[in-house]
Amino acid sequence: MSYNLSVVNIIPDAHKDAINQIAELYGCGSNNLSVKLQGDDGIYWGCHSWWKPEDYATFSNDELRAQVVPAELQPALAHLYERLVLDGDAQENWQAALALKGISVSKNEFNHKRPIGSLF
Amino acid sequence: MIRTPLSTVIGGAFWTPSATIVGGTSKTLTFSQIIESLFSNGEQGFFYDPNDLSTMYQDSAGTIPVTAAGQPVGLILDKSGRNNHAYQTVSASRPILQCNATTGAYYLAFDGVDDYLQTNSIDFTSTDKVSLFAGLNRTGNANIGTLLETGSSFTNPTGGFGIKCPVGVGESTLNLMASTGGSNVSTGAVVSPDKLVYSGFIDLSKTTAIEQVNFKVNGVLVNTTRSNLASNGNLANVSVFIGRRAGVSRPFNGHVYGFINIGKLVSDNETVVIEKELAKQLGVTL
Repeated sequence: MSYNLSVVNIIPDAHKDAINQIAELYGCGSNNLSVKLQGDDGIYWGCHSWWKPEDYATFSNDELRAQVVPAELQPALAHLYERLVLDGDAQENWQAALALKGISVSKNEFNHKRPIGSLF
Repeated sequence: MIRTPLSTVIGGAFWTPSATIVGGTSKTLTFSQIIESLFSNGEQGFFYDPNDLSTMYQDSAGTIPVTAAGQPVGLILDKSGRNNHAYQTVSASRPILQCNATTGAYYLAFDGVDDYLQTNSIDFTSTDKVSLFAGLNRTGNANIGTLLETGSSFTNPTGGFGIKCPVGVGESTLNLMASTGGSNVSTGAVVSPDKLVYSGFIDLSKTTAIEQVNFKVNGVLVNTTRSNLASNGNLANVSVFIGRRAGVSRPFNGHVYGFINIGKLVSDNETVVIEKELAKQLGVTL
């Protein structure tokens, strides 16, 4: 099976560390939610990843999840926004998720306006 | 045609690098062998070749091989001989190997959100020159993108370099930047086609900005402005990030077909060989 499931995850700042810990428990590394986002009500963090559909089914199975995720981290999952598109386009999925949530990439992180006279 | 010491060549026939010598050894060199020869004097840098599946792994530890298009790349081995491998420890930030349906060439697809690769520190401190080559397909320009950059930015630590693609929001542009001794130099933002072969040259032994940073798009030297002037000096011992500034911001949205970075200026003839191969993979005409 191929990695053809486009997945956008977005989480409020307060739950970022818990979700990143959960991702680490699944062997996905230490800082998956790494894109700083700005909403009207505060800071969010997001990421885009490609999954095998069967892996995602395993991840979203409550029974199996309970075996991996400790009880103290599980409440954070209720705040995790997910947008899934099979055979989707990463950018389309990402932009649509941001639009639906009414949030944008933090200007400080992304699109620095070039000062006049500067070319970089 | 078999050529002997007594052969007479009539009509302008000539030997090509791919000529086969019957009864002897073939002079055919693969693209990889040609690139590897550029590093034969110990030059620092890297050569990443997505067309060589044996050099890629799905995880950063190098335990799960990449076997087909559609799989994530957590580690790509450096074919220069310097062992400057590029890796990604975070699952969500791994580019995906894909295949160009027209040319059959493989490439790394960066999602323009959070994908990037990085190296351990590469010691460029013995040189003030760098050549950079990449086959690119820019698939979006909604944000400023970092194709390649050293350190936390190309000026930190000083002695770094970088390529932005695009340079500004909504632009179809790219550039070349370098720094040393606390000073820096940069080309202007150059409009380019989305599919392109990029050839960049940095020479910080020169004393004018126009000589210090130059690049070609699809084999043609670009004519652009320069900003600032770098002092003379060598480059840094520093990590290289591909696809995202310092692994934090300015994600590159596009495809990378091969990436070569050499701590010296590559000759015109060698440059042409590299550009032709990358163009073939991309499906562009030089």
